[in-house]
Amino acid sequence: MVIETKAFGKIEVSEKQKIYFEQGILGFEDIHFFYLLDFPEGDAPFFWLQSEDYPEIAFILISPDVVVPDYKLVADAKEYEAIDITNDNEILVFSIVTIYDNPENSTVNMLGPIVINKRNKKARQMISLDDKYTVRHPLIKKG
Amino acid sequence: MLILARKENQSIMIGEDIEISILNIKGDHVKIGIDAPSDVKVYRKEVFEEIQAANIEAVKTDLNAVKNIGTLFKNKK
Repeated sequence: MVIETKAFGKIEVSEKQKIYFEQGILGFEDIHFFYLLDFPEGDAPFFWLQSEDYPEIAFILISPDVVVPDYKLVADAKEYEAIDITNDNEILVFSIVTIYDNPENSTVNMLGPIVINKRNKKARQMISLDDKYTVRHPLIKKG
Repeated sequence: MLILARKENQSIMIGEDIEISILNIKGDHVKIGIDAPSDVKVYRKEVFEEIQAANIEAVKTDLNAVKNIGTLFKNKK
């Protein structure tokens, strides 16, 4: 099917890329369907999470272990149950990136990662129980 | 707002399946236990607000700023 996107205008997407957030994303609780899209810049480690119905609602995602190599998400078991995780192999974790005009100020939300169940495409913004992670972790190490 | 006084080890029921227990009180520090079904989200309020604010900020990301981030990030890695 064809959807209108923030980054690419109208593009063809596949059902396989469709992700279902039963509870939405914090601040966007009423938006349930997104598509996970590849990022165009070569092998850049980003993805777009594009709303199906609202072109302007799109998040840039990165795998958190690209930013913090030993990143380990610890979340409440109920959070995993909510998206029917039965096996660790099903878990796909992303962090939302905020990019600013000065890219060096860009930040990554390590506290509230997006977790996708690869098997059934159900997803949820979880809250890390580990307080050492913040919502505004620098994307790029300074210096 | 309903205001109830509770002592240590006492609890409050919200509906039939949410229980809030006062586990421990030390000075100005209260430990609270929450027993709720998995579809009820329980967060410290400030964490919830921080994540919500970060999400709203993230959606405002300008496409021009996005354009070169991939390559820049790769170079810096």
